Amino acid sequence: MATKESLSQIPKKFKKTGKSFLPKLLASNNNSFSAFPKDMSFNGKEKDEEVVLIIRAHWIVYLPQVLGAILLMFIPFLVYFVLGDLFTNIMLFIGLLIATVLISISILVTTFMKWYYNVNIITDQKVLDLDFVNALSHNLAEAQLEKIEDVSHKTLGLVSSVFDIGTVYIQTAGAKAEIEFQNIPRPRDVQDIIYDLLELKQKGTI
Amino acid sequence: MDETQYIFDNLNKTRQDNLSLNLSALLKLPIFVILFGNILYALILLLRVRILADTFESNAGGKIKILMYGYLTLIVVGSLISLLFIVLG
Repeated sequence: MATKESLSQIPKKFKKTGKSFLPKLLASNNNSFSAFPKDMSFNGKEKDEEVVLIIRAHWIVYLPQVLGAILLMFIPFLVYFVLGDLFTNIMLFIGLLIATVLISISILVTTFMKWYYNVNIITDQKVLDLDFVNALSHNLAEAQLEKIEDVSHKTLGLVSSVFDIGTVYIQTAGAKAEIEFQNIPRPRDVQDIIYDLLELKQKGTI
Repeated sequence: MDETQYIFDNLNKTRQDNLSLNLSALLKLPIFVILFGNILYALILLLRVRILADTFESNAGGKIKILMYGYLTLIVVGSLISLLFIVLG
């Protein structure tokens, strides 16, 4: 439900449109689904360009990595109990414990960075998909709203059903590969929002 | 004869000590490599985040940079401490 405070976030040019996507945008905003964010920018943003929505993957997608990092911290204890008779050197045990904790921290920091920089941005002019693949590479794909031909979404599996997460596919004109918003919350709403923006753009309202 | 008996009596003990020493030595080298790799990884991650921070700017960008520098410091200092324990061990 959109509150009075959240309604004030809506830029003027969107208020008059009366489109169905506005209440959807303002419902349950959080760091994974943030409508009309303030103080944010991206490479190639025009002065008059308005950021409508920022979407990140749902936190549940990263849960296995977080659990794996936590479990990794217990490996020295496992080694100690399994090889207890042979593994009697306490200094070596402490060294191994610190090493595994450091590796776990690396996994946790990488997971957080992946969540933070795997970001999908919808503006009143284009859509952007920034993917943090790994420490050595990232991808940035963008498409003008006018170039979008088709938007679809797919949800698969029990986790997707429970947490309402899915992947939104944006097909653009030409031979360019389609843009994917992977494992995002509320994929149906995102699809509807893009279609409404597309319609407004075609009408020249925004 | 007594000497032979002594060797037979301590045969099992001697073997276990050797195995313990070998296991410690075997563990040390991979841990050194992993710790060095982890420091290198933290450096590469920091550079990647700096690039991404320019691509996508938000009000949390400053906090992210502080987190990354803190992480790198922790990894370097922690790795040195870990190496010290392993060398002494």
